[in-house]
Amino acid sequence: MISLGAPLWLLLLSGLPLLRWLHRFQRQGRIRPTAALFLWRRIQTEGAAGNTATKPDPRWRLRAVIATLLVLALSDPYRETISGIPIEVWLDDSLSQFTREGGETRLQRGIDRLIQRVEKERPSSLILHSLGNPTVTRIINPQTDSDWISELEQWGSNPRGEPHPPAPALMHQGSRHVLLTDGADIQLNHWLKSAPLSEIIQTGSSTSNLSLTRLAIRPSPDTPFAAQGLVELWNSGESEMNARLILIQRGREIESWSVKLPPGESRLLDFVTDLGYPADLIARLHAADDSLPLDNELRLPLSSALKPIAVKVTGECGLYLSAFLQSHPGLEPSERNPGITIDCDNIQTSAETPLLRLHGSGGQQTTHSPGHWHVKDGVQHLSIHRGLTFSLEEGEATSSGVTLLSADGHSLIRESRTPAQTIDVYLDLQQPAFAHSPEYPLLLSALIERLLQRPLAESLVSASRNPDASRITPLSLPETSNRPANDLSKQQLSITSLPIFTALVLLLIDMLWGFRPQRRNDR
Amino acid sequence: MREGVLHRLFPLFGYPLVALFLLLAWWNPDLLPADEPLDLLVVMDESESVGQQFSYQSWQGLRPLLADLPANSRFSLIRFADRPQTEITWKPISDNELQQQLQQPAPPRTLSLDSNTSAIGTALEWATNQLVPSHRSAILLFSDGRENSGTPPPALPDAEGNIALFWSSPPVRYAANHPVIESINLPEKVKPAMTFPVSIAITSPTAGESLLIVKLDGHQLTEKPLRFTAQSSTVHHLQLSATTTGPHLLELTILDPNGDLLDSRERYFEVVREHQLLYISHQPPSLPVQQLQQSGWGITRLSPLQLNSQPDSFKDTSLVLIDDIPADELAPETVTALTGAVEQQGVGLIVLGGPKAFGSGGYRHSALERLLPVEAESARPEAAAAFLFLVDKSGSMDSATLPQSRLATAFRAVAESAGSLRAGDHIGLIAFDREVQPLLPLQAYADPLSTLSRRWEVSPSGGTRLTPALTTAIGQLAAATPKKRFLILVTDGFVEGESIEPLIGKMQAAGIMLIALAVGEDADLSVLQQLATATGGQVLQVAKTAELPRFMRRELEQQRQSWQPAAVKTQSVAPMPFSIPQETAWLPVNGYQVTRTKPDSTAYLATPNGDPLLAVRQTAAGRVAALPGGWLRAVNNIHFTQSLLAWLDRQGDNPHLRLDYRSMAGELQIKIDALDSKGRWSDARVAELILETPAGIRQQHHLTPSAPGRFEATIKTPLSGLYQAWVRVGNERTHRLLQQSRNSESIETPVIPWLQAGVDQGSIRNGSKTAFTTLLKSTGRRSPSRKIWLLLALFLFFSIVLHERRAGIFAALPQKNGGDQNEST
Repeated sequence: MISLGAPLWLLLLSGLPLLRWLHRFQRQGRIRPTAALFLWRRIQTEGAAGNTATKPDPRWRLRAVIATLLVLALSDPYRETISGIPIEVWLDDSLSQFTREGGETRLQRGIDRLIQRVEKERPSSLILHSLGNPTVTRIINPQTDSDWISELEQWGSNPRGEPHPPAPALMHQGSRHVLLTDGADIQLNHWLKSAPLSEIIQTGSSTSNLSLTRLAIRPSPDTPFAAQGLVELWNSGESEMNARLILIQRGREIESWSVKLPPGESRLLDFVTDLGYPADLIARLHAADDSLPLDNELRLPLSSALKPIAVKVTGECGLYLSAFLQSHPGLEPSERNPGITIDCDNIQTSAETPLLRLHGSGGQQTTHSPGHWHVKDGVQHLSIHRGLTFSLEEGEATSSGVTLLSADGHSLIRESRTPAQTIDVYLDLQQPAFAHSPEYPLLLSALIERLLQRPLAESLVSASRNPDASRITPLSLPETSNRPANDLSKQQLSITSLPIFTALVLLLIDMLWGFRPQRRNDR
Repeated sequence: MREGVLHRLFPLFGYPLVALFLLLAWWNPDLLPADEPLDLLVVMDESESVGQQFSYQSWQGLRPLLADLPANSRFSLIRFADRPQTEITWKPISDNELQQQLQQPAPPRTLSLDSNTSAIGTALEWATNQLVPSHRSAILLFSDGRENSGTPPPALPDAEGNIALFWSSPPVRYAANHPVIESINLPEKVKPAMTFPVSIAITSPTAGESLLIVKLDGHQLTEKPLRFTAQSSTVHHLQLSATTTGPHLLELTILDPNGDLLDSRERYFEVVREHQLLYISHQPPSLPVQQLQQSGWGITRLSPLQLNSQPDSFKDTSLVLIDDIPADELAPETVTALTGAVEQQGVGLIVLGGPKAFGSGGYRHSALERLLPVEAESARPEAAAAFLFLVDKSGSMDSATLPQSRLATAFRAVAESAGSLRAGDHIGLIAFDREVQPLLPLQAYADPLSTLSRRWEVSPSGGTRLTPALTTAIGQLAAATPKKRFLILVTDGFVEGESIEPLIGKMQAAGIMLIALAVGEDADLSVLQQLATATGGQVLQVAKTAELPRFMRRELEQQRQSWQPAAVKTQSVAPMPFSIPQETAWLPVNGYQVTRTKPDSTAYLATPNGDPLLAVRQTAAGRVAALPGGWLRAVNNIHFTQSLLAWLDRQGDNPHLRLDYRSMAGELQIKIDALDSKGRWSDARVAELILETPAGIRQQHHLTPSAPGRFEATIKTPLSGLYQAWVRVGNERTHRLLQQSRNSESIETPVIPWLQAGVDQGSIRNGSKTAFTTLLKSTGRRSPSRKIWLLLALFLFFSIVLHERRAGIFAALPQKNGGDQNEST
């Protein structure tokens, strides 16, 4: 369909009668010098020297067409089309979209409906956005890609997280925006109120879901090689559900419960397990009417999570440090794949792993004031009292890096990058008075944690799932007042060039017409 | 003629010109500069790492920038640190109020932000939500790109989109040009009236002078002139104390010489409630009890007998003081409970020496000694001695009324007294009735304790003939190598009529001292007394058989002379681990027990010959101090006593309930770990948390477990300052001060990766004025030049027609005179 962007320009067409009127006047005759006017007297009876006529010059029609075409071009003629506009699809690929209904997931059903839509409209491109992971985007051209349907069908194979919709201003205005969702996410439904969406494809109807939301174990403080555990399940559906919960380790069922849970309620269950030979622990839920099987299992990778960090030790580290390394449950002296290097002889200038470098030798001095921590977190609670000996190595003390601990104006602990993260300890870690204090193991742990940029294994291993992600009940989607009208979703293809080109051709004809030889009867 | 040429040339050039205009209309080139209005949204980082200088410069640079914007453009301003705050909402750039604001040196600030936290991601997400989708927009971010709130990366505009994102960062990392307080070390909890150390690190990029003012709860404590050199960092130490329990506010302020504020910091600490001292002694306390009570100590005094009968006395105690008590006066159950309280509950322990403690009190190898930082024997080599135990095994030593016979008790006493023996000592054992039965030859044994603890195959029978036994014993002792020779006789005193006078001379000649232990109230002591008096020894009547081991051991220790009754000087051998008044004088002590410091302990005070007078040991959770000279009694220094007691005292925390927290941007991350009464992770299903905000409003939170014994929550805390938390899990309770501080932004925070990635990918542009001007020129709306060309073409075309028809038109007009005709002819 052809429309005009600025139809008011058509008012100029009212000048066409003027054009016609002008063409009632014939071409002006040639000026011929003559000896006497009376010789032309009879001509006056035919009119004003042949300049008036009852019928206009036939050229006026050609010129009227030219003028009309120019006025038409001024009126911005365009053709409305929808086939050229890209469609941007915002896919809610959160957990609830994988609820199975009628043998298919909600997401699969939504994609099927999208495919029908695309087959009908054949947009120039289809841009898929994951709402769960905004960095995941794919562009498909249904007009040229032969396997675009299979690409679409393979899109949502795994949940990518809870929806993280973009700011409406960041959504392209030249595209049609389509949302695929089940409407189970409250935050997403809030976004609908402001997002410039053309269409929402909503799928989903079931409401029964029982989910595992937490599995955690923690070594028992009073029993060696034993751990206390906790498992939590939640009924996010709208009806009471019965289920059997089992714990599996090394392929064997080690604990089981039969659970009856009212809607909207959660339950915590305790258990005890053996950590003598840690193996992965799996909690699995079996419920008859459960529509979302993906949230029925949680796994704790105990074999890797409880594995201590390998510490490569170079040099003679002395009794106390060795005892610390041997007794710390999160550390293991080992040369293989070390996570950290401890250099007790100050011989390592650099290491591929984070390096804790102990400066045992050098001039020994005693601190006369308590140590002062220059860092704001992690170790500040450790009281380093006066009277401790430290190595005074000026070369190191003035090296690059920042002081973490100082006393009497001397750096006792410094941190730098050389290029691996390195901490130089000038404090004498061999002095019994310090080694027997409770601060000694805490200081070493804190320094190692600082080097590793993460806490040392506190042996608490847990896996959890956002309970809101397991909410599958579709909500009624709000009416979006900002949704564009249909015409805004169509592309306006300008056809101004067409009348211009036509006018140009006609102008050429008119010009050639004007320069053709004049008829002699003009005389 | 000339008019005729023009007349012919006009269509000749007119038509091509019309055609040219039409071609230009077809091409439709831009003729005019961009004039589409722009929505400019400035997002200004006001976190501490950026600094106010950059904020001011950025704000002042906006005025010329806005002057270059197209007409009808709009402006909006968002400030952010821990959270975004919209200060100006979409005002036309011609707005008078906006122009006035732009003339100010600083941006408008209607709400204070926590400048030590930076949440760039949140601010940008907030900003993009303020944009109108159909408007051409630009976001100008003034920030150093360093954030510490951990917010997820926001969606960024496309490089080719309708929204341009510019990032302008300070040319160099912001650094204050005046002294700033870099860090403060301050204990979180202190005891009433306890002197505690505070250290403050102050850095200064330039040389100069300033003044540090320290205020406690609004009252100025001190002011300290500071002198800096360029690029210096100095640590200043203060000694503070507070008596009122509860939270206290420490304010540190740096002023320049003109009295203008340069920097200030606030820190909170808590004076915890008074703590309970359990004082174990036979006598009224020798410490200044009244002064201790005045400084917040609750003191309970018990005798050893009372303590033994009240096994749960340690439950509500934070510090135990044992004042000159023999080890055997504390029942084994009491010592076990004390050990548990010290090692597991962190209860502090002080043992004061005196004539009845340590060596003299039978501490050597006792369960109590295992807790202590000293061993009850001298560190110096002592001359070896010979000890021969002579045990009466006559029939009278077998008492059926007792659970254990006198003979068995005697052997137990012998075994226990081995604890008082030193390496190199010679020991021997002889049993006798009417006959002499040598059980252990007198010589040095590598392990006297196990040697004497073996089971002896001896049964009580027969009468008692002392002379043969003494003769044999004297013979063995006289032949022994050690010059100090002791004969320890255990008998019930039923000695048959014998003449012992000849033996006295032999004993005196051999230098043998007799220690006779007469068991039973009806023992005949006359013979024993005669022997003992002659040899310099003594007779001890042990009324109760069960007390025999204690009597024997104590007597041996006394013979070892572990108690040194003479006055001795006190020397400091190591700096005290706690703060003490500088004027503390190390007064001499009037006697002390000879001990030696354990390898895992530290001696702080000692005699001139190195015997410890104050030694401390950390034993598991608790600290233990031994003062073998009872030094606290001697000095009568209440400040030192308070500091020592406070340092040893349990820290006031509930060992079964721990609250940790992390101060984040506008929120506190709370972590609670709870044990039950059996020491297992608590199986409680809820932790009750009451949080009092700086405004005094109490919020109640119920936390569910995230793991066995672990409760976690993130609580919105928009106000900076002091929060107080009370936690209850099951029957356990604890309390902690939480500071939503301004110390959460790390100086070393790198530029956030997603911001750098946006720059690399082109979705974030350089924030220079040149780049911004380039945007204005390049992304403007296309000028409507086509219509101009079309109108020109139409006008010219009409002119051609008009020109062509001109003569005919003029001819058709009414003729006014004949001039025209003449002319045309």
